[in-house]
Amino acid sequence: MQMHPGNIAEIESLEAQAIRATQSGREDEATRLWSRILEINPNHARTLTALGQRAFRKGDMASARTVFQRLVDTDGSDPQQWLHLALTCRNLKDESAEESAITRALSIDPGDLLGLILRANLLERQGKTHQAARVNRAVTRVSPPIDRLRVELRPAVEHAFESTKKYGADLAAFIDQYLEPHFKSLAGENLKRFRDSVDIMVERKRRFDSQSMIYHYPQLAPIEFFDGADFPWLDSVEEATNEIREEFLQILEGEEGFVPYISYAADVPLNQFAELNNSPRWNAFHLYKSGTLVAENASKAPRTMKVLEGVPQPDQPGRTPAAMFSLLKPKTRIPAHTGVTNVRLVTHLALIIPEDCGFRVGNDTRQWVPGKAWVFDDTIEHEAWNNSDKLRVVLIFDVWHPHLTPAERVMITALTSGVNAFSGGAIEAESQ
Amino acid sequence: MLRCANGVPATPEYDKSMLSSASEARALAMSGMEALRVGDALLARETFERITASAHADAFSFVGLAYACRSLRDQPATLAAVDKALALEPRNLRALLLKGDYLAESGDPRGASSFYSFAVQTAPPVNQLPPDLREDLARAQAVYQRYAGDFEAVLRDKLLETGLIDGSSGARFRQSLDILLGKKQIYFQQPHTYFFPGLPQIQFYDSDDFPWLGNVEAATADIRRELLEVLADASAFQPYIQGDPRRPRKEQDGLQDNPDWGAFYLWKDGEIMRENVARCPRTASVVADVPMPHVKNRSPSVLFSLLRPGAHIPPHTGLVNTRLICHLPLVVPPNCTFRVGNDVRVPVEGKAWLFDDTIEHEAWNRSDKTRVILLFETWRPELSEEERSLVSAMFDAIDAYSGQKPTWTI
Repeated sequence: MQMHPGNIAEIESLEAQAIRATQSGREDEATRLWSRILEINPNHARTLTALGQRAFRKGDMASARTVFQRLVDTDGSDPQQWLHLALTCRNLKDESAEESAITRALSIDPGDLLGLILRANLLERQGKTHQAARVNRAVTRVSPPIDRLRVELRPAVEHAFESTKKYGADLAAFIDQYLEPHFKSLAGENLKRFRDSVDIMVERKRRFDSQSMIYHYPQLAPIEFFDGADFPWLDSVEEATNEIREEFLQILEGEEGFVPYISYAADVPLNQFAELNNSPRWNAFHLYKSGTLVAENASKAPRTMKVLEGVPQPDQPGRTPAAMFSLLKPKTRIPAHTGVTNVRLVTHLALIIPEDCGFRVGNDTRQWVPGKAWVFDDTIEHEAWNNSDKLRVVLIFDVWHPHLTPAERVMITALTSGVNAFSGGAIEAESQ
Repeated sequence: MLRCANGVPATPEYDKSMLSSASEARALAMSGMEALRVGDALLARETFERITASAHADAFSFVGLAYACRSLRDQPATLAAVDKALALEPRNLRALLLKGDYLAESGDPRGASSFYSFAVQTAPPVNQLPPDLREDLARAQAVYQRYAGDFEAVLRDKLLETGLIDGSSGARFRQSLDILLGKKQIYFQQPHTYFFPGLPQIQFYDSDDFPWLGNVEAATADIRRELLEVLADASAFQPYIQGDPRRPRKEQDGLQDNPDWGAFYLWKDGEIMRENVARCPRTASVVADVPMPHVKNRSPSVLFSLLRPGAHIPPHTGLVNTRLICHLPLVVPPNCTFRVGNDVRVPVEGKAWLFDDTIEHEAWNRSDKTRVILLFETWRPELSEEERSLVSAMFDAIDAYSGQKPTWTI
């Protein structure tokens, strides 16, 4: 309907008066003013909304429904109009009208928060647990953070979060039970990847990707701890544990050659390691540092060096190989961090391990066992801690990622040389 | 001559005027800025030195001091002030650029480039920067890009010496190089529904990993013949992704109910489409030999996928990373392309490829003719038989729990 400009001005003026009247509690006057607007334009949306809301607040659901129905019949472009109608129908216990009004609202905006809340509430009343769970999840996704949310919606959104969590836990328990016979029939198979996939899906674990700080090699599987079968040399390393520890203890007595594991200059951003920079709480005794033999130190550990000869260590001039005794002081935690490149993996041979030490790579937390070695991908977020009051010592060295072909290793070495050739020497010292 | 390198006031006059409050320091900094603006470097230097000598020394005042010292061509003092600023704020944009400039002037382009590149990476969006900084940053970017070009040339020379770079063993390596040089970005799997961990992130697979692929390609002519008969029936194809008004629209907006992207299913979400299969018996028998996942209500799907002239399937990611998608191009006009992650390829009739659809991908038909491919899924080759059976069992469990059919679209 085409409105005359004079009519529009009059309506606006009446509307302003009606709002003022309502605000100062002059209800009768407000009603008279709203009625006059409807005489000029019987379908005036804001007037119908105001009248419907007033009837709703007074508890006169029948009138509210009549007005809101007129509103959606003549306009119906705003989801809010349908949701007013839905709420009114809910109070009138007319479920099917409530449901169709919600559907109309969400057809206009499928992400309407109030619409989703009302739909979840209806489905819960109808006992449709699974459908309600889906909608509750949708509520948690479209809702702004609770602290920025309209106060009156907070309880509903909090309820959606709780329901989603509970539903997830119920689903997880159901899946565990359902899969139990399958796991039994596959006993002895290595199913860690699959178990992790279920845990990630039901949000008992987080997903971790490889995040190389400097050089990412594509298409390598991001595996937290590798299977020992990939490393035929690992046994000989473990067998030499006692001799290696002997050498270390001699070195420790000499008290020389230990340096902070992390030592950056003052003008370098310390994203990961601010706390441990230049700190004696995490010390290293380097045998190979950034690709170079530390001759003085190595001469004190001949047997250890002999063992390293049998290991396929990477060759990136100015960067790798690296090998060192790593000393973690009592009550010290190495914060979660990721390494430089996934072309190499990192081996730990546990030498001196007090109680209350631990090591986490991604989702997998393990304890060092003296004489046992493991190989992990240090570009997956990892952290270490020594909560004891004794020193923890591990031999650390890097190895080529076993899935790199010999040709790829040659290329990577050449690449590093190229970088050095360009810059006229090795660049930033790296850390593990 | 005043000295500002050590941060100690050089003349007794400053001792008398030690700053008593932070507000006094702020006022002084403003007057130092004003002195810089009007070109009185000497006054600016004296002003900033008073702040840096006080307890209120901050990165801002050291940067101001560095600008002043640079105007006075006092290189050592400039460097000292910049280093102080960076020690206080390693990400201070002006200090990073000043240090880059200093290193460039003193003949260390590598060092200059590393500061310039860090400045470019950490800078806020250009429209939030003051004009003078915009110019400095643009200059830094240009230097950095020139440097990156030189860097790449040297690397390529060095790598050519190995004689390996163009061999087939170099594909993975070449990608690593492009990522290192900032020419490609890393794409990760982003399945919407289910993530299986520990798998390599591979965009396009090597065809040699799939012994059955040769048979599929060899049947191209037969499959195309069946397709052309179906195509004669204009109503045979339906929109690829059909929306459910009772569900929120997913982020795949632009795909849903889009008639530019049509499908003719032989299998749909684990269910055989008998009428359609009867129209394409040869195609159905060819894919019967493919190790396709069989998961109730979900897999497999086998279809002719049709892309109308000018259509673009916007970037999207798939549902689960336990399968790969195979495309066998059947009718391919010129100017069709397909991107998975950082790899853009051109389909060729009769040449199939397998890709990971949980890595962001998109497709274009920039021609004025319709493009059609055969599309189906296969288990990821890295999954063991046991893992495959468990994945199927798990989805059964989910359906058993919820008692409803999943919404499932490739």
